[in-house]
Amino acid sequence: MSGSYALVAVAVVSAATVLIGALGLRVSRTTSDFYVASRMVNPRLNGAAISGEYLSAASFLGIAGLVLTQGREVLWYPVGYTAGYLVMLLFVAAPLRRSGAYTLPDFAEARLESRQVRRVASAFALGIGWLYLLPQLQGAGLTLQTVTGAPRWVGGVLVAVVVTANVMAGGMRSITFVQAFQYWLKLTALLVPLIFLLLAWHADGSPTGQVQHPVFQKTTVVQVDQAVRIRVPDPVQVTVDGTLDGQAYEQVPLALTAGVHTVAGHTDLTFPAHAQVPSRVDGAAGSPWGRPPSADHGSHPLYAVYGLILATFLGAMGLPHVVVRFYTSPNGRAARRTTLVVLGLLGVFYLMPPIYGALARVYAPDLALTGNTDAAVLVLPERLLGGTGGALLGALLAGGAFAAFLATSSGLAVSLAGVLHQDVLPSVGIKGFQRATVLAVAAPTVFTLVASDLPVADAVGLAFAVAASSFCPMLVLGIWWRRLTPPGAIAGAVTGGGAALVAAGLTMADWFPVGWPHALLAWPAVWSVPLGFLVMITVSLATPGSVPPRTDATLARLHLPEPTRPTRSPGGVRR
Amino acid sequence: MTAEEPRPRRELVTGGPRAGRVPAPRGSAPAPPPAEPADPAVSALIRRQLRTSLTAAAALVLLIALLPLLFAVAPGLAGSSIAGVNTVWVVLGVLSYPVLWLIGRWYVARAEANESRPPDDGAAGTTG
Repeated sequence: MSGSYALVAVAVVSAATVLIGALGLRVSRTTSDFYVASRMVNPRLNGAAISGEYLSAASFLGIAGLVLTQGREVLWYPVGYTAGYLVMLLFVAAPLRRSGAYTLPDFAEARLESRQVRRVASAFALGIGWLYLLPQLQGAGLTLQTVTGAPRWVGGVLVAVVVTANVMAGGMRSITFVQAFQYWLKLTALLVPLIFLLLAWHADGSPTGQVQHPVFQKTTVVQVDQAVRIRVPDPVQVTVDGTLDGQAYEQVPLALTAGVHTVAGHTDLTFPAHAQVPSRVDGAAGSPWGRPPSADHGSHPLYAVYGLILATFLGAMGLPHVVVRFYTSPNGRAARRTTLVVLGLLGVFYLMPPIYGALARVYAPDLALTGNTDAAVLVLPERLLGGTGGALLGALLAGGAFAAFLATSSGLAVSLAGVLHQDVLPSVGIKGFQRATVLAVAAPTVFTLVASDLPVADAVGLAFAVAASSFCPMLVLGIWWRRLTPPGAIAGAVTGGGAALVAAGLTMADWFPVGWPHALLAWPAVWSVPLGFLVMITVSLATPGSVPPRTDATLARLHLPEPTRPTRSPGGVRR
Repeated sequence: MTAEEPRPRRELVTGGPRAGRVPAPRGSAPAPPPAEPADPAVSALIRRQLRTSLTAAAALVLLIALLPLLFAVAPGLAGSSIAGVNTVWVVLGVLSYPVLWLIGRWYVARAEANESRPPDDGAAGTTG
């Protein structure tokens, strides 16, 4: 049974994560180690760690699944995730490192000399971080269920426990090793099966899926486990075993009309070869990783693509787990070079998920119907290769997927624990940091357990949009504009980020299901990012008296190269 | 926030291995340097760096971010194919990554050159 191989792979990845973390513990003793690996991590190791942390399950599983259902427009997701790093490199990487702060709230306070700004930044960092952590835990549950049949909650709890133990044991230093390891693991886990899959595909006569709508290559039985509403594009002759549109059938041939049909749980539908694969009506927005730009009928795909572009290009810099990583570079220049390494590593990785998606369009189109599109990457080896080889490669992919869940969750846990430790919890030192870690992971874990059926559609996309509308203006203006004031920063972040948040809430509540109102709310970044910038600039100009007194000195510090001697102050980093 | 000094001060992350907490005056990230008037050389450096960043950003917009618009106004291009593969797939799935990296590489080289260039003392200007 393929499940047992996958179980072994997941166990090995989890064990290796803990082991590498434990080795890191030997060298991790001070609070500074826990936080930022004492800022001694070199660009190549740090670059691999950043990439390992950034490549979440959204990249490992989500992109292929989205390509499967939606085709080429979702290719903007990986491009956007990578371009987000480029924008970060251009506008924030080196100055952020030179600011000497550790979290986004640290930077906000150091630059604007205001505790209120710090509090607002903390609230946003926590909100964005938890929003990002939630789908990781839910996705882990789904993955483990797909490959082993374990109950949905097991995967999430497993990830939460491993991450908490690991972060508590070693903090950032061990996390750096763990995440660098996980980048290479994820790359290998995608690359090796891909080679075999492409060989099998070639031997199969290189069939290509249709560009826009996937079709069944051969007669296919689709097992529907949970009730689903599907949209049938063209009339089609199917065989139904189960309940369709409220009527029970037992192996009955039936002509399905074009339009929307309701399939009850535990129903088998048999489709003939070359029939178009029906799409899920509510499933289009059902991926936690992202919303496809042309999901809905009567949508505005061009506007949607630009919503996606703005959110991902500008949002990456505002993700709390991403920014923390810059503090592990020894200086501003190293931070830049590290980011360049990351750009290269991301580019190499992102060549692969779309190919999995394209293969899934040919060999696993039924997943689009059942909605379990995250499984696309995982099931391909079994479908194309079969046998023990297929099972082993599937297990490798399952292990890689778990590496993705663990790496991103670890990074988020460290950064959220940092924020909680500094700004929320009344305790200090390593003990306090460990307590903060438990809270940082426990909150979303409990939420997943309690509300496991709550749709977290597009939670990752939402996190990007909120980050792009709040932290992006604060960082960019803070670094490049000396007239930014604390009232301006607060007003802009709250207006921009708040607007994106409200829009997302209205989208989830489905207030405006179609047309422009829907497009505007589902893709808020196009207007909420300019809004954030505009309010921040206007309010700052209106409060010129509040320009922080040490602005010029701070800006000099952000932009001047560090002196070559050890940074500063007694007890600084020793060489 | 009313009780006197209940809030733990955060720690200086650059601090040495001094067990326990390091009292930081503002409870903030590393204390900013003392106030001093804007140095014209610094302002010039910031402007130079900003110009470099904006140039690279313009390249990003022109080469990548305008593609959806291009594909929308030229549907023939979006429907065409390169070596049997749809053009959009080739451009987004493969070509965009080296372009992003090259923009980044150009920027890093320029930014470092800006920093190592001696301050051109005549070119001081007012702060923007």
